[in-house]
Amino acid sequence: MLNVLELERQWRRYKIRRSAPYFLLALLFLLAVPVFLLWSNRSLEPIVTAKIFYTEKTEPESNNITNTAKLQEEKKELVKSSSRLTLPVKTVDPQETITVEEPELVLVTEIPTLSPSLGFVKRMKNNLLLHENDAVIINQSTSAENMPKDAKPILSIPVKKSKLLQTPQQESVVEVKIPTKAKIQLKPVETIQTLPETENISMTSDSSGSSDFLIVRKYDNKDLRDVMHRFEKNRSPALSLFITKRFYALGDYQQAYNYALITNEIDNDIEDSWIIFSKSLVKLDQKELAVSTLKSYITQSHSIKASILLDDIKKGKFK
Amino acid sequence: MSNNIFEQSKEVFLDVVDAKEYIQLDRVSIIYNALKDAIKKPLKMILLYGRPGTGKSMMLNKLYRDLFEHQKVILYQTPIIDENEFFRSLARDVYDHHTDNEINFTRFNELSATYDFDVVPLVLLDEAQLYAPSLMEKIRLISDSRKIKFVFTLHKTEREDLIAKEHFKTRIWESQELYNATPAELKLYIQKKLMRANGFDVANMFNEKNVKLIHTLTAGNYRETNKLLFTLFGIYEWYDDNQPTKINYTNISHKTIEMAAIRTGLIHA
Repeated sequence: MLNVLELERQWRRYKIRRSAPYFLLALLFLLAVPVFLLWSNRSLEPIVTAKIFYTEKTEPESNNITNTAKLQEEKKELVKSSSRLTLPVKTVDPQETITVEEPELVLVTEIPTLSPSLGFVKRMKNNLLLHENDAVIINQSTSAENMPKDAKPILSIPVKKSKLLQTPQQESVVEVKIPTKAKIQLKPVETIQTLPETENISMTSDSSGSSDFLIVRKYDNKDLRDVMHRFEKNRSPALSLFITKRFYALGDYQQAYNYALITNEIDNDIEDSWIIFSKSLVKLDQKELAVSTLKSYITQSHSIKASILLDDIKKGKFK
Repeated sequence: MSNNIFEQSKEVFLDVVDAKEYIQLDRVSIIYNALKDAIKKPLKMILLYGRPGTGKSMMLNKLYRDLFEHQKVILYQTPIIDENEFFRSLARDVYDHHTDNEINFTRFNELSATYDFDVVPLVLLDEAQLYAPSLMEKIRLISDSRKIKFVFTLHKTEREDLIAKEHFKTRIWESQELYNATPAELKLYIQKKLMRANGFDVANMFNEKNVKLIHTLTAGNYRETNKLLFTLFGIYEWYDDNQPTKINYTNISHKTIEMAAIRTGLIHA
């Protein structure tokens, strides 16, 4: 006699047992997909270190700054980097000791970026390019690791006061004593030099001197801003090198220096970047630093171009 | 007869070797006709072989039923293992020689020499792999005398192939192989059987998917199919009596087929 109810129970057990491997496979697949995606994302960005963006709520009255510093912007996005902090500052006396009360930091997001700070890039992007009395302090102790040992310039402008931000790991009150020896005074950075709209270049092809070709070259600061905008997105060393060259050509040696520094950080094997880096230093009256930087670079790369430039700088041919 | 249609259908698949229940399928029909033609030829031995459940016994039964009225034909569905008993049975059935005395191979040859038929008597031996090799050798010698024509059925295994090689390879004989049913043949087989018993509604409940599952479970073995369907309709019969709401009268459910397979041991649950 058939026991159908018992058969039904057996059938249910059989179905569960039969479908269990498929269920497990599906579960494994569902687990494997996010793990794989996570792994692949990490493998794509092996060098990038995580940065935390903070939005600073500035409260001028509560800041216990010994000087009468006033912040120009109410809100600034500052990049906290493990290797470098580039801070937009007001002028500060190099001898002064500044005590800054810990600002209230609000975590906005966590995205991987590369140092140094692109705060100045953002300002220029908005066509502000107003450096006025601002200057960039590049801390010698936090310069790129991949730079030559001697190529760690500390550039600063004599400023009246500066506001320093603290990372979360720091104490609530930090006294920063800026050694005067480690600072080199530079001229304030001017805005991007205004170029003529067009430049006509005539070329002659025969002895009679008649012009056969006329090259009309257009100069437009918008192009540079576009490139800077693209560079912000993809962090291509080729773009930063281009920007470096353009700034140098425009005579904005401070920016040329900054972008050369960024380029070297992204890729420390670009000869042109190091050349412009050194040339910018010379132009910024940092001849000795330029010489030491070039020497270090030549030691590493044996660059002939760098050797020629070093020779020119030493002999005073390049000023 | 019960009013439950599933009970009637169940009886159809009761596994018995009965030529009345023989279902003529295309491929089987071709083999059967070839077998009948072979019998007309002056062959000493004919071999019908195939895997278990391919319908060898049924075909032998059908052959016996078809030839019974036209010539002397004897069917031994169950092997007679004892040699004396075998020859005594053969003498009784072929020559109508009744005796209680022992009949050995020599005595049987003497007896067969005294009889002469217009049409050589045909002896059908089912499950021939169960006969002892020595008896098989004597059967071969009898067939050599052309006094009796033998038709064997053998399971197709390595061992039986060996028997065939050892005993029959030098003899004039013809062999026919039977195969397991294809899904299409199985569907036709099931539906023909059901329709023969007026189970048209039940026959229509089988679709391609159902039959494919049955074919997968039984590997086209007719005997296993009969067993499975017998159990299947037993389950349907129970549902019809106790939980009729669970029955879908338009389709045979996979669940019920699998339950029947668990019951018959085709699925190890």
